[in-house]
Amino acid sequence: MNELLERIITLLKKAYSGTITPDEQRELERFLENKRLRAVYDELTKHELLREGIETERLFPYRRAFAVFRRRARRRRVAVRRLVVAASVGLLLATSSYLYLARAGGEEPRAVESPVIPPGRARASIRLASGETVAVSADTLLRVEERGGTSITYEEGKIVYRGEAASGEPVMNELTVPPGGECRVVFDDGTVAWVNADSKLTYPVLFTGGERVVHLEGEAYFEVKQEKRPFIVRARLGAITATGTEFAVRVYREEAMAATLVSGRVRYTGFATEDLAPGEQVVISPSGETAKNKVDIQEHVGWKEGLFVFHRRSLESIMKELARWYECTVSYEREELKALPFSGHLKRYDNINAFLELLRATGEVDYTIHDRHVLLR
Amino acid sequence: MDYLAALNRKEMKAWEFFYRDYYSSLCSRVFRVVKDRDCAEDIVQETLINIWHSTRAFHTEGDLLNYLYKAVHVNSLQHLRTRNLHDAHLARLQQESATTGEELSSLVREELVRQLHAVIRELPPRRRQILQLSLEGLSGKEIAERLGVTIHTVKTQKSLAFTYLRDRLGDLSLLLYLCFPVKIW
Repeated sequence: MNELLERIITLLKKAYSGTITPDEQRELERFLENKRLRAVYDELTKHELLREGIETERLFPYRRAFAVFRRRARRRRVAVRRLVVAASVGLLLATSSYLYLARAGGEEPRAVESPVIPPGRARASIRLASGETVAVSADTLLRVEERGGTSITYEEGKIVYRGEAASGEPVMNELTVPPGGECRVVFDDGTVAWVNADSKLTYPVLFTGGERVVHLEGEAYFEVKQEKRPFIVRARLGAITATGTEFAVRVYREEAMAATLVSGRVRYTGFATEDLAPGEQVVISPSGETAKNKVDIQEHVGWKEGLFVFHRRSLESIMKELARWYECTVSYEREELKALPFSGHLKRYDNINAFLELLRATGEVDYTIHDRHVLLR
Repeated sequence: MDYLAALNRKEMKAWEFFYRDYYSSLCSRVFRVVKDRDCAEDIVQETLINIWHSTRAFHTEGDLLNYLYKAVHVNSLQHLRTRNLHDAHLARLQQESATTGEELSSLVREELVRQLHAVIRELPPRRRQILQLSLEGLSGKEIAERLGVTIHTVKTQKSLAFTYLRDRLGDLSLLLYLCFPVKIW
C-alpha cells in the first residue's frame, strides 16, 4: 500500500512539473480513472492544493506550537497521559477499518488504573495411583516414588518419570493443570509433553506393552521420542497416533478437537481417518465432522514457546483462551464485540492488562477489571 | 540519516524542523476527525510530547511517521470516544478510514498539500507573499498596489514561484511522505 501511494504521488508530481514520460503518463491515466484521484489531480493543477497548504499553515502555525512543545520538553518529566500504548505485544484489528500495530520498544510510564491480572504460571497436580494428590509449582521440590518403583521428580519446571521396566498392571497417574497453570512432563520413554491451562493428562508412569498411550482432555504439545512403539493420544473425539514427531492436540470440553502437526507424521482416527503432513491440521467438530487444513503452525503451537498467536480470530475466541491462562472470567457489554476479528501476537507472560490496553488503543473495545473479571465494552 | 538520528537524540533543532515540516499537516489530519481546531492541536502536541518523553528510537523516518500517524489517528478516535460522540458518527468514521479508493485519494491529497506547502516555505518572502495573494484571488494590479511594486514585478515573481514549485516537485528526492500503514500481519 505504501508503494502504491508513493507511486501515485510520484506520478502526480512528475505531471505537475512537466517531467513525466509518455509511459508514466499512461500509467497515471490509469490511476486517474479513479474519480477521486482525478479530482485530486484537478485540484493540484488548479492550484487548489497550494491554496490549502497556505490555509493549513494559517490554521495551525507551527512556530507557536513548537514554542509550547519546547517549554514542555524542558520541564521535568511528568506522568505521561496514557494516549498511545507501546507494549511488548502486537495487536492488529483485522478488519479493514483501521489497523494498529504496537511494536516492542518504548516503555511509557503509565499510572496503573486497573487491577492487574497476572499470567498463569507453572503449576499442576498429580494424582498418584493411590489416589493421593501431589501439587507442583515453580518452587516445589518433588521426589516421589510410585508403586512399582518409578520415581517422580519435579526439576527445572518439569515432572520427570524414571523407572525400571516392569510387568503387571500399568500404574496410572493423572496430571491436572488448572486454569492459570501450565506444566511439562517427561515420560519414562523420554517423550516430553507441554500441558496447557485447564487440561488433564492421564498416562501410565511406565510405558509397558506395544503402545504408548495417554489420554488428554484440554491442550498439550508432544515431542515424541522416536521408538518402534507408536505414541497414541486418546481424546474425546478421536485418537492421534504418532511415531517420533512433534504435534499439538487441543480438545477442550464442548469445543472442536484439533491436532496440528509440526514435524514427522501422525494419523487421526475416530470419526474418520486422516494422515497429517507437517504444517497440517485436522479439526473435528463436536458432532464428528472432520476437516484437514494447512495452517500457520505458530497460531496453534505458539503458546508452547510463550507466545499467543492469532490470525483473524474473533475476540470471543481469543478471550476464551486468555481466560483459561489468566484464570479470569469475561463478559461483553455489547454482543457485537464478540465477533470482532483480530490478528496479532502477545507474550504469554505479560499481564492480561497489556493485551487489554492494546484493545483499548484500537478504539474499538474498552474494558474494566473487577475482581478477576473482565468486562469488555 | 542525520536528521533522524538528531530526532532520536532529542536535539531541539531537529525537532523544530520536524514541527515545521509536519505539524500543520498532522493537525489538519486530526481536525478532519475531531472537527475542532483546539482539540486537534492538543492531540498532536500530546502525541509529539509523548514521543519526546519516551525512550523510543526510530530506525527510519518511515518508522517514525508510521508511528506518528497511527498514534495520532488512534488518539483522535480515543478523543471522540471520551467525548461520547454518537456511535453512528464513529462507525461512519471507521468506514471512511477503510482503505478504499476514498481513503487513498485523501492520503494522496494530504501528502501533496504538505509537500507543496513545504516548498512554498522555501520561497523568498516577497515571492511567497505574491504567490499567496495571487492564490487568494487578487489580480496582478491589486497585488501590485497592495505591495507597492510594479505589475511587471508581480508577474515575474509569480512566474518564478511557479517555476520553482514545479522544479522542486519534479525533484523526487523531496521529502518523505507516509501513508497509513496497512500491514496485514
